Amino acid sequence: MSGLRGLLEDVADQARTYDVTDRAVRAAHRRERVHRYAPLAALAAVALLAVGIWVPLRSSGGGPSLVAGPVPWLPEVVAPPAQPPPVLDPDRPVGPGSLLYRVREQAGTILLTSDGRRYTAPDGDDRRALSLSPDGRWLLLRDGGRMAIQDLRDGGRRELGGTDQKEIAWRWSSNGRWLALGAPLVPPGVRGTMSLVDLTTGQTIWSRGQPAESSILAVLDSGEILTWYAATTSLGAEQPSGAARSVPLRLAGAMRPNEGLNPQPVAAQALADGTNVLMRAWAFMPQGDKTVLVPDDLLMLDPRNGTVLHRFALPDPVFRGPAGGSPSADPSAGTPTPYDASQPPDGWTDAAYDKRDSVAVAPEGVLLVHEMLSGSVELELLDARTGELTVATRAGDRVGDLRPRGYTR
Amino acid sequence: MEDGDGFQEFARARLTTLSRIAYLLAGDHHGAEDLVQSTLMKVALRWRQVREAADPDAYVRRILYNERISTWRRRGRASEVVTDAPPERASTVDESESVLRQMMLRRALARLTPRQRATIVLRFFEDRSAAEAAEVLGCSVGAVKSQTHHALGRLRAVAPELADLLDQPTEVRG
Repeated sequence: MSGLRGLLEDVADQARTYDVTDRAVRAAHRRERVHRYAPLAALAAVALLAVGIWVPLRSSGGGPSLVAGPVPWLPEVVAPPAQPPPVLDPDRPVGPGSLLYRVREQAGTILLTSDGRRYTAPDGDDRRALSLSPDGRWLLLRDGGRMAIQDLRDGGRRELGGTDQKEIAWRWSSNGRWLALGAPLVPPGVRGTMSLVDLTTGQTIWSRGQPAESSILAVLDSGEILTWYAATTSLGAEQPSGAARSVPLRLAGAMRPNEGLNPQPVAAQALADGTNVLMRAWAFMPQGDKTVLVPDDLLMLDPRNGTVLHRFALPDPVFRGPAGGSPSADPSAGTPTPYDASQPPDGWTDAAYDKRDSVAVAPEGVLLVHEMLSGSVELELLDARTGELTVATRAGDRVGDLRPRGYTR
Repeated sequence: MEDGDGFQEFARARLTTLSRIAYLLAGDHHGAEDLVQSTLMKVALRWRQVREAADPDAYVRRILYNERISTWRRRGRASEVVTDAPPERASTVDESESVLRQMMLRRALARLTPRQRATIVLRFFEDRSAAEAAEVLGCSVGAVKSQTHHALGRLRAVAPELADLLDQPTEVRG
């Protein structure tokens, strides 16, 4: 097939000479250092746990320190209610919500309003879809097969048209003006539907086709919806006017070797702070014949040109390793051993580990859910100006699934 | 890895070849650059074994191809997207037949699995025999022949415009 060979050569002629030799050498040196010091890091972590001290294993380059500093509209501590709270009436105004949470072994999701009252929120068809708007006015839920928003300020519930797909993702704009709905990932060869809701009126102002193989990523304060093509690492942008553009992400130089963006949209942890996009960098860790995606630092991307504006260091996750630190031991037995995420051992499990997920953007900063090996959960605030991480809300015993205003999954 | 022991000289002498293959495998410049970097990093980490191997180039080629396949597996997708609607072409642009066919081939390659794509590149760009391709990909000769058959069939299906290239009765070294 000389014709095919000739055409392949023509395509290959479009390649540049990627002189990355120096970068490869530096990356190799870094990798060697990690391998050399990983056992010491694991031992240190074990020792710290033994004396009851919790210290997050940090990503390279330093990171935030943990100090107390509550967000005004969030409680410092969330405790389980003594009695089941009254059921939220769809037509009754209750004032803006602050937080949704659940209590283990109790049915229903609890809505905490800004005046401290609690209600049992409707789970609807799928409680995973429950979320509060960034200003607390709207409660998003899935009911009767469609998404709906309940007005907590004035009362009443509105169904959102064009939202009867099986899988739907939502994104709030940080100013509370817009709600974007669309497919977490449109399959190849088909066209999905995405829509934009004006939250000043609760009305869907437009609904359009969502391109194949795209994921809805974020909505900016301008109402521009950003979609993401994981396969090409590029953004699509749809403005309310109908104008559209495409922006390749320029991640080179901002990512470490073996790092990338998560191709699974649900796990991508994408948010918008008004004008920029926050996405999680993920480390691809080969473990035998499988590779595990480990959440790493948080990237702030400029959607106008696809560049990385900032990288916020987050503490590395800590994994539950095999019992007694022996690779051959049963991970489900005995006392789990934490390991540095950069070098999890054979036999580890990613079912439970100390980790952080970015879940919302608030006026005070980025909110993260921190799940700890002990099973405790807390909300942390990442100050985008300083990179400092503070504990905003601690969950009491049996309390979990914390969803602050603007929660996105 | 030790500095100054010939790695950089070795790598730079092969950059053009590696870049061309990486571009064919990845389908875009970013992906190709990442692929070359991760390949060279692994070569650097194993430099002593590579240097002392009977055929260092074959060693590097194995790393390159397998890095591409495993990277795709990790990320779950190829780094080139095929949209449901091809981008419109400006009517004022004088696109030659050759350029159009290159575009069609790139799109068609993006529809292959990474292993199929690697097989096509090895056999029809690098002109490797099935046995040599099997050595690089770490699989059997039969698997290479099967991958080649399926890859060509897939290319015919997704790019019927290129059928004249794909149906040429040219020898494929066995």
